Amino acid sequence: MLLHQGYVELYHHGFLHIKSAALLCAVGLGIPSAIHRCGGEATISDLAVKTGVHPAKLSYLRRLMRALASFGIFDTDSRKPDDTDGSSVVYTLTPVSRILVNDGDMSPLLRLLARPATSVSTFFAMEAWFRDGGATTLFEMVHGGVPPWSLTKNDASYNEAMNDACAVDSGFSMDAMLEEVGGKGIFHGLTSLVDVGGGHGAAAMAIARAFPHVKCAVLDLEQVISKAPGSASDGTVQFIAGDMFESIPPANAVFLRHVLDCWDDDHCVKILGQCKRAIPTRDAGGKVIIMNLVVGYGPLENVVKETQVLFDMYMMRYGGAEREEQEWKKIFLEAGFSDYKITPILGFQSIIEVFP
Amino acid sequence: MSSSQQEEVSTKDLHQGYVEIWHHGLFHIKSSALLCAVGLGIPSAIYRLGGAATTSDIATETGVHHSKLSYLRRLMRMLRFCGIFTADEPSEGEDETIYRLTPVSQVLVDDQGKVPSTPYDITAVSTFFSLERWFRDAGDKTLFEVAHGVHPWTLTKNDASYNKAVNDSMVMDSSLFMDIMLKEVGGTDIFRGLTSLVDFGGGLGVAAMAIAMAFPHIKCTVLDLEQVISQAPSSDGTVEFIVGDMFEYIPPADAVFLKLIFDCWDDDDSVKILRQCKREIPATDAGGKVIIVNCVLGYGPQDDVYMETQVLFDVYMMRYGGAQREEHEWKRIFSEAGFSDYNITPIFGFQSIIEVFP
Repeated sequence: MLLHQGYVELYHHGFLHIKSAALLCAVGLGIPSAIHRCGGEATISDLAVKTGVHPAKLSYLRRLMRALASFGIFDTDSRKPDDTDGSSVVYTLTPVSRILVNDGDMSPLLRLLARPATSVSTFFAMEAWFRDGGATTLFEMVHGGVPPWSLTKNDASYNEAMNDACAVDSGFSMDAMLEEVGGKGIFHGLTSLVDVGGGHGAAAMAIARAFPHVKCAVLDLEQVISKAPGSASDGTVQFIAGDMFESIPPANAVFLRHVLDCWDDDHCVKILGQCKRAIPTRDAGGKVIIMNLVVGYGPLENVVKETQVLFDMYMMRYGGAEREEQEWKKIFLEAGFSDYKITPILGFQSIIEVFP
Repeated sequence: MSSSQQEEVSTKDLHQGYVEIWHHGLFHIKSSALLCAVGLGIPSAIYRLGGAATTSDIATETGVHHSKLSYLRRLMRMLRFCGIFTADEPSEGEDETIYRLTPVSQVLVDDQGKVPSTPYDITAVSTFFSLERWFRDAGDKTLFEVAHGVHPWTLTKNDASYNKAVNDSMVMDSSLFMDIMLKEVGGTDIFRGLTSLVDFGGGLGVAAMAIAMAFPHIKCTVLDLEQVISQAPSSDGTVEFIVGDMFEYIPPADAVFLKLIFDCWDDDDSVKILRQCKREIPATDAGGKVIIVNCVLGYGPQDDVYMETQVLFDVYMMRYGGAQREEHEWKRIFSEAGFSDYNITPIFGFQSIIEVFP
């Protein structure tokens, strides 16, 4: 009955925030790691012993695990017929919980995406923001006019959360991306590359490791470069302080990872314009390599499509955006580029080569 | 990742896990975006425009500021991909997508001048981000108290805007819900033969009034706390309102009606409430019964969305120290309170009506 479907979906959507919070809790309690340490299978009692859950909360842990299994975070085998309290159920890991096991795990990324003060609660103000005529971003509206980059300067815990999340995300996605596109000619033939907005150099170093003949440099703001860890300046990658809106050092290619989605169209066209000045012609191998989403590209599974548009909302709060192909095409053309090529990667992201 | 872990996991699984972290981490946005769409009145706007509207039409109709049009377009795109709306792709020569309603946005249309409900309040959303801290906590405070430092019913007494938010979020308090429910059970014996009924925790009287109108021979009374009854619309006599605490006193009646009550309370408190009920109703032969509206976990269509909604609802009630119960858990508290039998009738997709007999 359609009305039933409507109501169950209303409740379902209304409760979806719990999925973010429940996963965050499971990671905070160390449940994926605990299951891993138990050899990949654990009962509730095993988990209670291995995590910080108070013994009085065992029945609640069982209910949390039941929910998480329902969401696909863990797998279970079926309960024994005489088991009335779920104590015999065995939990195992799934792809998502496996990469949340400690020791190189992805939990800082999850913590940033579902961070109460700077992510979750920001969206509560959406209705008011939509009615407002001002130019403040959603983030600024909720944080007293302070944009995220300023907040990281003043709020040490937010700064740490951002840096940790970016570090694990770069580490994981750069290695995975390079493995995926290794044979596709994207980085082949380059002699030099500058990673604009490349932060502490994790991405540039990953490229330099995979393609040792490419001379890699990072361009970023003075206050970012100055904090780059000591080992970063071992000569593998050159660090250059500067502003991408002013000038980009010349190179064969410019690499832009998660930069253009932080800016609106006008700013993106300016950045791309500076890139075009820095690289040679297409015949001489000049190109811009963008690592971002192309909304609508990739596998047609629901998970991918939804994640892309949710990510767009997430960036919207900063005044940024995830773009569909024609939206990308528009800014490429406006910046004077002639052609582009999209290669889907990592399930929901893409590499876009843009040619002058 | 350490190399030993990498060997165990295939590239496909790694990619899948990576997407799912983003997907799960951002799920909270689905709830907030839905709240925003309802607050802006988008479903109602599309309905008023004949069931099909472009983003520009929607902006004009809802009062979204014209400078925010491109953002509204992106919000509509997101809501469409998440199943809240559907869209016709622009035809030749047109460049605006046309949006239509789906079952879920259909139930969010309000054509009677009232803002439709979403089944949560913002305080609830922030409560769940204290889950880890609460799990580590040795005390017996509820999740809500750990997150907000105060008991929810105390907060409704002291904070008028929270009180309103909680009342507004009671979707199942809507007369539409009651109409559906009563239609579904109209042909059964659930309400037949009753001469009087008390709606325990009956809030603003919507349920009691719907029952009284469908079954005019049943004398209906609402029992609830002072701060709730004081917000009820003035009664025209169809239903009597009594201020009281269900742990202390229940007026005698043929039947006690408890809609979405037991999921707020743990087993001990639920047994206490049931014992109070048993004191005030006649024997089964004389028509006495308790009528409960709540989830029975595992009952209903075995479809993923239904099952997942029930377990989400269970975690949701954890914030009050409550729970959604499986059949054997319901059976246990009925027996403990001295009841002899029960009958479950699934309704509304994921809910049930349970008659309990003394």
